[in-house]
Amino acid sequence: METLSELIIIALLSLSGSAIAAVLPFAFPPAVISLFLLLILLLSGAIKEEGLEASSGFFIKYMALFFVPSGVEIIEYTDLLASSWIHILAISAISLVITFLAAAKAVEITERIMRRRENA
Amino acid sequence: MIGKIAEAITATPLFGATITILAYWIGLKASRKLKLAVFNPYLIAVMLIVGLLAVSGVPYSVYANGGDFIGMFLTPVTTILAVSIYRQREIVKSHFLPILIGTLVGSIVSVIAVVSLSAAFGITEELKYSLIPKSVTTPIAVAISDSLGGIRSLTVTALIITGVLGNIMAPLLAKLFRVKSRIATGVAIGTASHVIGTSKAMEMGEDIGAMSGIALSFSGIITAIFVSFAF
Repeated sequence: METLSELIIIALLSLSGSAIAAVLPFAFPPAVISLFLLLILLLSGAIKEEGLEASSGFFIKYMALFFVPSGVEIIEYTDLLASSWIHILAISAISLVITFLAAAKAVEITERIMRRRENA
Repeated sequence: MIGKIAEAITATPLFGATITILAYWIGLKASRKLKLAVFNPYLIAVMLIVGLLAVSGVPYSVYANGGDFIGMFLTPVTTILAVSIYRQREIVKSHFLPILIGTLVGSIVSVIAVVSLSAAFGITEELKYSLIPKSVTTPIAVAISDSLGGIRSLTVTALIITGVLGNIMAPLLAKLFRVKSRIATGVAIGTASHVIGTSKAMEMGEDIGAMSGIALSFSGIITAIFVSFAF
């Protein structure tokens, strides 16, 4: 019964995300809207974290399972992969390094400024 | 007779759904024995199914009848991420500004880097859109790829490459760029290489792992917002 009501809440939130995304003036992923809705409900106390224990435990633990079909779909794009794998690899590797550097330095600079403010 | 049985089994969506769950279960078991980032349960599952389809000659569309059923849970799974963000609220509160600025700068730089590199290499628009969200957590990345008009499976491929490279290179990058702050290290790993990188961050220290976990949620949301305004 508990699990069932959790699933209903999550399903309704997911549908609400799609509904809101449909009327937004710009393209936005419906699933991220659903995430925001649930986060607001949790932060406001309207939904208790314990009230989602069964489903959140299951979905978070086995999250990767739900993306297996998206990965298998690669079989439909073997030609594209054969011609572009080197680009995909290069773009992934280079942007990884740049992103790492940017995020790390942004945090360090922020921390330095905050420390200076505290000392001043 | 075997043909008849095969036909009956593959006629139902239960076929695709069952082999997906079975392959993932095998992946979970096998990855515990092979402790390497490349052999994660997900990758093993995908390779098993791709191999099975290739060998048996069962068309992808037949698999997808059931696969799509599992994939339908994309939205609920993303929604549930809110619970893990909510659980981390205390750590977020105590380091809010560094986390926010680190993930904001990192996410925007990541998108710009992919767009510039795509132009430099002259790849197709479709491939570019598939690669844009490749640094963020899988559920959000797939959702962004969908809304941009990218190809899910290519997004996932680039995402895994990025994650595995991030997992292997994280300690090296931290040393190379002389990152001293543990918060900065965690935020950088989570922003650049999502969950697969985060597993390395956890090995580097519980505090670095926690930061990485928070950063991957933040960067996912920020990337979704940035991309929806930029494209």
